[in-house]
Amino acid sequence: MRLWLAHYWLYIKAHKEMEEGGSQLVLQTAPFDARFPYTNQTKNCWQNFVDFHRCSKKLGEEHESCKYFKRVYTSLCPKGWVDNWNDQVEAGTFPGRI
Amino acid sequence: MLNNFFYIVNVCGKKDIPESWHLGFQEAAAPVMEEIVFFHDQIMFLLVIIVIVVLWLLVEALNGKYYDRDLIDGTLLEIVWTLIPAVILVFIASPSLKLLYLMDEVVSPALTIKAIGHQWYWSYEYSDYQEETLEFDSYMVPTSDLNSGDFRLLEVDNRLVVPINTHVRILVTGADVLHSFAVPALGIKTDAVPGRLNQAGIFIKRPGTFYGQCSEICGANHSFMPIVIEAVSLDRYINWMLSLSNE
Amino acid sequence: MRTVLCHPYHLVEPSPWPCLGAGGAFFITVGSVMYFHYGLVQIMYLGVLVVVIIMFVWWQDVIRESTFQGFHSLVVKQGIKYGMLLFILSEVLFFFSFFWAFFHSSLAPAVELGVVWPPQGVNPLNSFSVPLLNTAVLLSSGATVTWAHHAIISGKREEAILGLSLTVFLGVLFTGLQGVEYYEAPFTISDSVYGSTFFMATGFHGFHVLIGTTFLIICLVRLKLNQFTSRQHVGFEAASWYWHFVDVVWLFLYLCVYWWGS
Repeated sequence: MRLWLAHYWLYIKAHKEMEEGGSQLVLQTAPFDARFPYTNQTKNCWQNFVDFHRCSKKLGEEHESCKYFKRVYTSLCPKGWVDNWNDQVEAGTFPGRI
Repeated sequence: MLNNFFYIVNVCGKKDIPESWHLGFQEAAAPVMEEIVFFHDQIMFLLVIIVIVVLWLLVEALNGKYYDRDLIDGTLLEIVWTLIPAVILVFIASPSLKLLYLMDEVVSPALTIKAIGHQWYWSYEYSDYQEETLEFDSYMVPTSDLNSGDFRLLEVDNRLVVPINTHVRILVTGADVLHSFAVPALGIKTDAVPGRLNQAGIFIKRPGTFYGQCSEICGANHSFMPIVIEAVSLDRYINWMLSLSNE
Repeated sequence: MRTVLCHPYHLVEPSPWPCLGAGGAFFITVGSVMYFHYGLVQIMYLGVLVVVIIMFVWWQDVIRESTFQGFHSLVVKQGIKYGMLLFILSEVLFFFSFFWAFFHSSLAPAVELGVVWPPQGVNPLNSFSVPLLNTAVLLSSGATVTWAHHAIISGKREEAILGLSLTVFLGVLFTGLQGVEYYEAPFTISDSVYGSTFFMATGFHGFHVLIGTTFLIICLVRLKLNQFTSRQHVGFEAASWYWHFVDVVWLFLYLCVYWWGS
C-alpha cells in the first residue's frame, strides 16, 4: 500500500515539474494501481474516466485531483474509447454513474 | 558440410529476424525472453533423457529377449513408474508457473504505449505527455515497394519506437475482431480483444529492430499486418518524441 | 420363431430407425444452413418432421419389445436406468455451462453495462411475481408426480391417472405462464448479455419442460392403456426422474437468475 501511494506521489510530482519546466519531457505514466493487478486493465481505464467526471462535477475540471484522473485515463484508455464515452456523456447515454 | 547443416536446421537464432528453416528462438532482447529460453533448455534436458529411456525400453521390449509368462502384476513397478513422471512434471510445472507470473508482472512502467489491432494494420498511441495523443497507423510495406535488404512481409511504414533499458507498459486492444500482438525476440504475445485492454510489460536490453506478426487469425490479411519495434536509446526516444510533438 | 435365451441381455433386431434418424438429422443440419444463409426453411422443417416421426416409431418399437414381448429383463432394465441417469447427468452439465456464462457476466459486469448487474437500462422481471408462482407450480407438480408414482406401485390406477393428469396440467400451466412472461418481458435476447444469458438459460429450461411434459403425456396414455404394472414401469420412472431434474434446474434458475440476478 505504501509503495503504491509512493508511486502516485512521484507521478504527481513529476507532472508538476513537467508543466513548470515547459516543454521538457518527463518519462512518467499512470502508476501501478493495486485495485487492478491483473492483465485485464479495462476497468482501470474505465474507473479513472468515471472518477474524472465525478471529480469535475464536484470540484471542477481544473482541480489538481481531477487533472490527475484525466492524466491516468488518457494514458490508459485508447483514444477511440474516450471519444466514444465523451460522446455518450454529452448525449446522456453513458452507462456509468457520474 | 556441417555449416550447411546448421544453415538448414537453424536451431540457434543468430539474428533478430526469422530465418529460413528457423527452428529455435530468435536472440532474446528482453529478460523475459531470456527466462523463456532458459525454461525451454531445461525442458529439453528432461526431454532428451525421457526420449532416450523410452526408446531404449521400446527396443528392449521389441527384442523379445526378456519376457515372463507368469508375470501378472507388479505393484512396486506401477508405483515407481507413476511417481517418476509425477516428479518430473513437478520439475516442469514449478518453473513454468514461476515464469507465468513473472511475465504478468508490470512494475512501475515509465511509459505506456497502446497497440490497437485493426483489419488489417496496427495503430499505436502514445498519450503520456501532452493533451493531444500521438497516434499513428502502421501498415505493411508491400513487396513491390521493398528496398534491398528489407524483409518481405515484415517491414512497416511507421515503426513503433521504444526506449531501451526502460520499463514499458503495452496495452493491447482490438478495434474490430480478435488480433494478437506478438514479438518473439521480446517474449510477448498478448491477445487484442475488442472492448478489453490487455496489459503486457516489456523491458528491452539492447538497441535493435524487432519483428513480430499478428498471432490471432483475424481475416483475409491476417498474415500482412506485421509489427516492427525499433528499440533506441532513451535520449533518441525523447528526441524523436519531442520532434513529433513540435510538429 | 422360438429362441432359447441363455443370457439375460436383449439383443435387438435390425432396425431402420438409426439410419433414417441420422438422415433426418442431416436434413436438419443442411436445412439450418440453408435457412441461415438463404432464408429457405422448408428443408429444415422436413428434417425436424423426419426426426420427430423416427422418434415416435423408434420408441413405439421399444414399447413393443418391453411391454409386449417382455425382452426387458432385470439386467436390461438396470442398463436403461443407468443410461437415463447418465443422460440426465449430461443435461446437468449442459445447464452448468449456461450458469457459468451467467455468473461470468454478472459477477464482474463489463464496462459496457456500466459495471452493474442488472445492466444499466435493463429492467428485470419481478422475481416475486409470476416467477414465484411458477416455482410453486413446478414444486407442486413434483409432488403430484410422486403421488402418481406411489399410486402405481400400490396398484391404484384411478389415483395414478389423477396424479399424472395433474402433473401434466401443472406442466402446461408453467409453460403458459412462461409464455406470457416472455411476451410481456421489457427486454429481449439482444438486450445486452443480460438478455442473452436470461433467455438462453430460461429458454432451454422451458424447452426441457416441453420435453418433460411430452414424456409425461406419453406415460399418461400408457397408464390409461394399462401398460404399467406395479412392478414394471421403467418408462414412468424415467419420466419422473427427468421431471424432477427440470424442477431442480428451475429452482437454481429462480434463485440465481430471477432473484439474485435482479
